[in-house]
Amino acid sequence: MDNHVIEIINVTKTYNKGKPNEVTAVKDTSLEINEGSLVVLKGSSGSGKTTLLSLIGCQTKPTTGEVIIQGKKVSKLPEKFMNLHKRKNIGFIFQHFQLIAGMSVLDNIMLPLIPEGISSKERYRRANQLLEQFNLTHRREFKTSSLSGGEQQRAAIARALINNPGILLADEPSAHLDSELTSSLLDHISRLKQSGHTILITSHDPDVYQKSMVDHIFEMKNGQIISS
Amino acid sequence: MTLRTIFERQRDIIDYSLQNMLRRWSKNTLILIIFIVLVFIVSSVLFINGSLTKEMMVTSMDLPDITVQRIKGGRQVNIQAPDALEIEKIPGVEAVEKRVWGYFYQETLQANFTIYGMDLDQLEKGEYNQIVDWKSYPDDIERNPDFRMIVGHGVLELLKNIEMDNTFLFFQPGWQQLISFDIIGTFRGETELQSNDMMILQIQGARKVLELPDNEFTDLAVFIPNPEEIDNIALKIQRLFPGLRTVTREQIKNSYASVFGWKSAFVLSSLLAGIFAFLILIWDKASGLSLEEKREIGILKAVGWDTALVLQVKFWEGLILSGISSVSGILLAYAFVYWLRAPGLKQIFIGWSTIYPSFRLTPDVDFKFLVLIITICVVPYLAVTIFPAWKAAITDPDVMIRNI
Ligand SMILES: Nc1ncnc2c1ncn2[C@@H]1O[C@H](COP(=O)(O)OP(=O)(O)O)[C@@H](O)[C@H]1O
Ligand SMILES: [Mg+2]
Repeated sequence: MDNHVIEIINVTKTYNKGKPNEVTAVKDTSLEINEGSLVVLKGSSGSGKTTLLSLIGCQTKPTTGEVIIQGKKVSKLPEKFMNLHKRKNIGFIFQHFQLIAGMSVLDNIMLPLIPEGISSKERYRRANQLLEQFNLTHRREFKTSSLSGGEQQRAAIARALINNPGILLADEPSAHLDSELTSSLLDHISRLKQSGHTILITSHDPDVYQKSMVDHIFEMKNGQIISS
Repeated sequence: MTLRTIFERQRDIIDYSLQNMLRRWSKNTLILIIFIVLVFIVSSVLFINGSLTKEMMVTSMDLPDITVQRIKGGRQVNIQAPDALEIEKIPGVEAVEKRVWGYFYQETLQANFTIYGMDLDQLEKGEYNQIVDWKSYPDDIERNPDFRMIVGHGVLELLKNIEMDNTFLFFQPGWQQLISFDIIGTFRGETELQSNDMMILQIQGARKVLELPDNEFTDLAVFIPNPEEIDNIALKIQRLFPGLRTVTREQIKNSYASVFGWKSAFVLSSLLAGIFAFLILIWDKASGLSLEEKREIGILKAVGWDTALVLQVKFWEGLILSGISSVSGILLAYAFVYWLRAPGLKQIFIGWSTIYPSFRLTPDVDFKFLVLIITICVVPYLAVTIFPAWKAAITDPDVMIRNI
């Protein structure tokens, strides 16, 4: 059990600390995830799933405790280095996709490459490959606001994969999809797992967490993991 | 990172900034227009002011060291030839010129001309020969040498409209008859502030038009080789001749300067009010990051952009917009002032003359001012663009992304 790509040690996240609207979204939680596994985080709304995912995805820092990704204590790193580590290792698929509306699918997908200083030729090569893979080539120049829900999701996945990260995090990926699209999403996820990605998904959709490919299910309640 | 990748990345960032601005073209176009208008007004005023100041300086070089007038009952009256002889005797005075000049109001053109009497034969022979474009008359018509004149370009333009560009007819309601003058040349002026409304008449004719008796003059121009002595001699003249008043070149310069100064202070203070309104507007437009813009910054942060990179994008956006608008504002002002001759604005500055027929300002651009204008526009705009973006960018992206 040495290959924990994700390690969470006694992490607490409190928002608005010291103010009347103080919320502790994640409480003294620990978690380990093996390389190459597919893990689902379930739990009712408000239980802290998104917060935990954000902590792992380097979108925010824990109030106390440690987040270790690929052996690096990211929670202690300054912003610049945390971002570097995040770009290299983590692909994040947000619940509401978070694509930039007025921008083309292609430009959206290439966004994470700009801080890397990657040549435009290489950016286009990678983006075109992903567009092909997710069947979006015909939507390349479309504004993301004009895409269907399924297409937006595929664009969001493509953007998460553009830096070729080992870890993929997805927050409620099936929340906005019908059952047909959900099964196609699961196909994509299964393929990504086969290609060696470590995947962590939050979901309260049985269609997702009852699949045989899921290695682990953690359940959260009131900011803590109550079962695994 | 090698130098080349730094360069390429900077180009990517500028590309991204341009794309960003195009996506919000309506907001940016509005800011661009307001910006251009403001820069345009400020630079127009500065251009006009700068040119007039220069004009004044050039003009005042030609002023006599001391102008002497006779005052009676607080009014300026004609001066007599003997006064000139007396003043010429004062040690330090090189020459005293008896001047014949005045104004003539031309009814049909509603224009006020400055009439100056000179001996044109002398002018043709002397050093001023080069500043006049002499017209030649191939015909053999007998002309009265007392009724010849030279005019400024502006006057000539104006006279063409009433087809009097060869012969000009002076007339006043009380006169028995018209006085007709042949226009024998125009002067090429470096300075146009004064010469543009000027008519130089052969002195005998000028006396008729100005109704000035033969042994009387408008005033005296006193020339003194040693500038140190000017003030003393002016004092001496006043002491020796209680009825005379002296005005030194320095005094005229100062009164010009104070008129200009007052006018530009007036214009600039109204501009300041404009700038203030502009800043409020810009602040409102640029600082109030829309929800959409905040969300975008959140997305960039979430996909791994550093705060510094987000700020670089905003920096370029601000620089491009304010740079383009301040440069175009300046260019437009240049065209407006020096090609179109500043219709509307110029009158504020040259209010003391009824009309300057076609006053053309000579470009006099002070680069320090241009740099100042650009700085005044670019720096605050950069600040109001970058500051709110910075506030949004240092917030953890998860907060941004949840609050949609
Ligand atoms: N930025 C924030 N500021 C204040 N409270 C927050 C913030 N983000 C999340 N919370 C609160 O933290 C708790 C957990 O939220 P979340 O992690 O989104 O749960 P889940 O994803 O399981 O629905 C909720 O009570 C939510 O209101
Ligand atoms: Mg959630």
